[in-house]
Amino acid sequence: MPRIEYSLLTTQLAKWSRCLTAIAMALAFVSAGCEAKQPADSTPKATERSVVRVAAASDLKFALGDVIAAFKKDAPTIHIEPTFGASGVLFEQLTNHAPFDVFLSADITYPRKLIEQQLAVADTEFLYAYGELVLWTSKFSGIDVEKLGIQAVTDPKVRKIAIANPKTAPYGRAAEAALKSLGVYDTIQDRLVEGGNIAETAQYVESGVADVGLIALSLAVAPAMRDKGVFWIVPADAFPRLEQGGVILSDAKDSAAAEKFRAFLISPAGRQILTNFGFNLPGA
Amino acid sequence: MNELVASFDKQYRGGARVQAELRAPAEGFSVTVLFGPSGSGKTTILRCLAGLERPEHGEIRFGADVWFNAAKAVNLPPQQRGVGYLFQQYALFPHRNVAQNIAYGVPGERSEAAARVESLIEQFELSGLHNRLPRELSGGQQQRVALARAIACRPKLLLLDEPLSALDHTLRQNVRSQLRRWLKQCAAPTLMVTHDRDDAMALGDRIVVLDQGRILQQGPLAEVFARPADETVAKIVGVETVVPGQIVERQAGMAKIAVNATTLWAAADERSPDRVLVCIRGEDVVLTRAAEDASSIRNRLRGRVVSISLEGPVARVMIDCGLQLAATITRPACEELSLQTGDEVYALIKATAIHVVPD
Amino acid sequence: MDWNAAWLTCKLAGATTAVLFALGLPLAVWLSRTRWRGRFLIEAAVALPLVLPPTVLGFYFLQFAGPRGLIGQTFERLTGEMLPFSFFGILLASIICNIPFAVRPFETALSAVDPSLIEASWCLGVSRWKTFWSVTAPLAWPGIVTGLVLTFAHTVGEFGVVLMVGGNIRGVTRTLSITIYDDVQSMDYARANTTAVALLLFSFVVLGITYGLNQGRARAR
Repeated sequence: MPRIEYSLLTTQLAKWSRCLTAIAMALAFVSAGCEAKQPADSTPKATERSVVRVAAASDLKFALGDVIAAFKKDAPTIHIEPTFGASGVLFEQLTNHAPFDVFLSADITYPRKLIEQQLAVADTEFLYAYGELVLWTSKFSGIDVEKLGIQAVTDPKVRKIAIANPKTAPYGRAAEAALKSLGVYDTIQDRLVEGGNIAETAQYVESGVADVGLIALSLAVAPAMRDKGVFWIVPADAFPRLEQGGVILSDAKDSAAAEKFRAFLISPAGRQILTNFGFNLPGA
Repeated sequence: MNELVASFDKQYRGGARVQAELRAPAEGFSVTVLFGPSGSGKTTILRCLAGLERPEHGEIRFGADVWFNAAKAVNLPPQQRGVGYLFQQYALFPHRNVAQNIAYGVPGERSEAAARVESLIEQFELSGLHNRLPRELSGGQQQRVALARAIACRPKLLLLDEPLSALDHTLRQNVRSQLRRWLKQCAAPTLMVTHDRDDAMALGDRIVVLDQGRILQQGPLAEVFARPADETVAKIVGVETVVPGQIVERQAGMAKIAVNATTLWAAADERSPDRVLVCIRGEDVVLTRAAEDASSIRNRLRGRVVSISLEGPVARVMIDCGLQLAATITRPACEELSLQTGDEVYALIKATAIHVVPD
Repeated sequence: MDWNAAWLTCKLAGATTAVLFALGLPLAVWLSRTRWRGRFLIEAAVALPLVLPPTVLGFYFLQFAGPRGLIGQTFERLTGEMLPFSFFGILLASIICNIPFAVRPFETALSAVDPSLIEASWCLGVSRWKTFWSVTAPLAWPGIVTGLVLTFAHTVGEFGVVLMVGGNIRGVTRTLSITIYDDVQSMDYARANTTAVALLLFSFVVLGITYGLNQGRARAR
């Protein structure tokens, strides 16, 4: 770089950079402002494209994908945006007015609490499935869960057992209860690792970080996990029933669209998809 | 008469304190030297005059303009004082070339300013260096650019902080003579800080002597050097021999002073007390090997050479002649006399050259 | 690769950097010049987000900026929107998290400018404001750019606070780092890998350019 130009270059660079940052700032604020405005003035008609934001428990991660795809055929103008998480965490967010329209929880007590707090619409509460808990292990682990059942967790080869966080995930609570009622909890308590939600728990055990894990059946039968491991279904009487319920939220932007989605979930088409993912259905 | 009047007090948090009471011309060309050892507060005074530091009490007035007044809470920033400041390390802007440095701060239209810059570049012998960056210049060139930049804005008062200290010895001597010429061309009153006696003598018209934050003496340079007000000033201005003595006889404006093991004749005021300090500059001592010689010299002391130290073109010779006397003679002279340590030698001092200060 | 999330991430990083440039630079200027004895308190406060876990920041953010907090309620009154789970919410949280990444390099660069250069400019009759732009800023510029780049790169990688405060809402608060988290949980390792590699390359290239320029400048000096 010619020395003569150096001082000029730095002053030029300085000027350019100042310009660029000013432009960037302006752009960012303008676009952010536009973003902020959008949800507020969306009062869509049935024919316009509307968005339904669903806060869904993580055990629905794969099942809901299929449901949404099927729903799209039914109602092409309604766009479903799912956000997955532990039911307890989602519940916390919703009590803080998180902008969702529908809440699908793995534990129906959460939607009930929301109705009590008038954050959800009273008569939209619905039970959509009963959850199943399985003990899963990768097919390379050499642990025969199918034969040993729950006793597999006591195997010395098992160094880490994954469950979901009992404080925030209903499946975690169920897993903890099952381990206790089946009499193995004390033995293996120090080998437990907790995933933030049931999907994270499944990922732990799928990747081998944990040797075995108590996860949702709906995740175990999903394409992502199906051929990678074997599982043993935990008997339903070993833990309090996982009543999975949903509700439409009071702050829902488009209640009509939300209602349509809810209706689809409990319709025969929706129920069929849930059955495919191993859910037990109410009234079945 | 237009004067710079400064009377202020600057206190530092660590306890150091600088008190200034000085006057300097505010019109026409003159160079006032602020002279003293390191840490005596010279730079502080300069910075307060420039507006870079704010004193606690006092006033600074430049002619009719009040630059600082503690009581009235007036404190003009440097931008409004119209001073030109030359920093010890020059403070040239590293991201601008020579022409841009000099042009920085020059007011007025582009073409006007460019013409002024051009004339300064010529005056300071910087032709052809327009586009060089400061780090590509020699020490001497940097100094000239810094000076040109300070002068470019036609300051009312020029403040120079140790303008020659960053230059090496030989360069220093060359620049010394040029500097006075340039300052004269600028034609503004100048205050210059230095601790170098040769710089002060070569460049100053007036001198202000400082020590430990206080001004001890100020006045025309030759006067202060010839007649330091007290021992400290004498030491600072470089009077080599300062010894206590007692006046034993007075006669028509002259006094006979007993100093250690010998006596000296010197011009002394009638009112001067008996206990005095005798100040003798090394330059005023003549050395000879001859014992007796008819001359006007009143003081002829016999003694032995204690030490000889050669400093460039001069030789400083310490002689024990009843008092420890320092003589400064030229090297050739020293060689001609073949002076060696331990030699017997006569020191001749004119009575009028001996300066007497009350003890 | 989720392009929606990529654009969102760019917007977030760009806006955070721009705001911290506008607000952080004056703060850094003050810190570099002041002789106030309480300066160390401000410096500690500025450095705080560096050592605090993102969860602490997220927690307090939700407390103060949530619907029950003072800031949250004010914002809601002014705009009708909520701060958490909104872009402005994660932008605000991101700005707070990145204060040290911007202000500290700014301050270092500004302090490194020789004060006698600034004083020389004043004595030449140039106002403080003009002196800042003519002398201080150009000389401190490499350090300032480093601060901007670090802030941008760090925001791109921000995860914990954005998740806590943003709620992982697609198109609004789901940034690239969160999509990686989501993809891993969904066991879509292929997509997670694509995004992760892209982020890695991007960060490396950006940092490489910055440090390369700095090195070039240092050698020229």
